Amino acid sequence: MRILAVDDDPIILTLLVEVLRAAGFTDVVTAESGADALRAIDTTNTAFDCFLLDIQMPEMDGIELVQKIRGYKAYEATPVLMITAMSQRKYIDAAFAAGASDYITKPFEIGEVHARLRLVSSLAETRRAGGIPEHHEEIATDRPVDLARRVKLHDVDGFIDYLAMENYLLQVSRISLIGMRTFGVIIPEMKRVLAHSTPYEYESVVADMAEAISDTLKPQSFFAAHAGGGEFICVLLNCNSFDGDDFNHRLNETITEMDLHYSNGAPMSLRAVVGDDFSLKLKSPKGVSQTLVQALAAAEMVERQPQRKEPQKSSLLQLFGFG
Amino acid sequence: MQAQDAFSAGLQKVRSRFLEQLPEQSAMIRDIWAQVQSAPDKPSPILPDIGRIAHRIAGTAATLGFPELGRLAATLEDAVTEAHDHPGGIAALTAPVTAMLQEMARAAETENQTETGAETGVQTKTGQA
Repeated sequence: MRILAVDDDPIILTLLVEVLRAAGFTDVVTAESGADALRAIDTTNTAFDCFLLDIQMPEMDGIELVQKIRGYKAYEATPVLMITAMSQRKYIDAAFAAGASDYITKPFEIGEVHARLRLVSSLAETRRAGGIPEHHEEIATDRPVDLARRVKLHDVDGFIDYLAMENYLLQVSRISLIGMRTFGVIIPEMKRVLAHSTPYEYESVVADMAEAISDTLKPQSFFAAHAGGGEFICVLLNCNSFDGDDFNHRLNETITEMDLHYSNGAPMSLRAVVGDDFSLKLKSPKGVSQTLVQALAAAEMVERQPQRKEPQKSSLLQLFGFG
Repeated sequence: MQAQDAFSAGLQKVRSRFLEQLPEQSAMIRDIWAQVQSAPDKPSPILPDIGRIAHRIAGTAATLGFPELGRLAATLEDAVTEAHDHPGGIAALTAPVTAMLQEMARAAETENQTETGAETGVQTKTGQA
C-alpha cells in the first residue's frame, strides 16, 4: 500500500515513517506542506492508496488539502486519515465535511495507527480485487446495477461516505452526541425502477435524491450518507427535536419539483419515506453504529406499514363513531 | 525480533532528534515570553509562536515517552489561544509557560540520566560476558 504522509513537523513525519514501517507499510512518501503534497500527487507514477494528513499547517491547512485531493477523480474514494492534535469538534466537523475518511488525534497510540491502517489496507486490497469500483469511469459500463453499492456523494452538501459517518460519530465525544439525532430516508421505488437501469443512471438518481435531502435539511447542520440502494442515513448535529412528518412532506415536494426522467424521456415517479428519529445522546461506540442501523430499519418499517406514520385518530372520536 | 529491534532503534532515533530540539525550542519560548512580558497590555504578534512550538511538542511528546511534557504543552497551547483571544490575559500565561519550561528541562535531564543508565547496562552485560 502506497501512502502519502503530510505534516509540517519533520519529527512527526520521521515518527510516522517508523511506525508505518513497523506495521509493514514501507512504501511511504512524505511531504512537509500542502503544496509539496500536491506536487507529489501530480508527479507520482504509482497512485497513492492512502493519505495521512495533519490539519494545522501554514499556508494550506489539512482541511483545504483534503478538498483538493477529493478534486482528483482518481482520489475521490481513497482513504484520507487526519492525524492531528486538533481535537475540537469544529475541526472534526470541518475535516469530515471536506472528505476525510477517519480521524486520529495526536499524540497517537502506535497500536491505534497500526489498526486503522490495516483496515485501510484491507479496503485497498478489496478495491484492487474489483470489489469496490473506485472511479466513475469504472462503473459507467453496461454491467448490471449493484444496488447494495454505496455511492460517494462528496459533491452534495453535507453528504459523506457511510464509513466516514460512523468514524465521525465515534470520534466526537459522547458529550457532543447529546444534540445529535439520526433518521433514515428510503426511496421505496428505487429497487424496482433502477433494477434495469445503467449504473450511470443509478448513480445519477442517488445523487438527485441526495441533493433533495440536502436542500430540504438546510439550513440545519447535518451529515448524511448513502447506505446503498434507495437508503440514506441522516444525522442532525445540533437538534433536540425533529419534525419527521414536516420533513417528509417538504422532501417529497422537493422531489416532485425535480421532475425526474429516465434517459429515454419517460417520467420517473419517486417518493421518499422518512423513518422515526433517534437520539444519539451518550451512546457508546457500539450503540452509535446500532442506532444508525435502527434508524434505517425504522424507515423500512414505515415503508412496509405506511399507516403507522399517519396521525393517530383520537380514541374518543373513534369511540363516538367519528373515527 | 529483528523487526522489533529495528523499530526500537528507529523510535530511539526520533526520540533523540526530539530531545535535541528541546533546548532551542525552550530558548525561543523564553525569548518570546520576555518580549511579551515587556508590553503585557499590547496585543503581541509573536505570542502565537509560543503556541506553535507547544502544538508541535503536544503532538509528539507522549508518543515518544514524555506524557507529562505533552500534557503541559497542550495546556500551554490552549492558554496561548485563550490569551490571544482576550487581550490583557497575558498574566494567566505565567504558570503554564513556567511549568512547560521546567518540564522541558526535566525531560532533557531525564534523558541524559537514561542514556547514562543504558550505557551502564551495556557495560555490565559486556562485563558479564
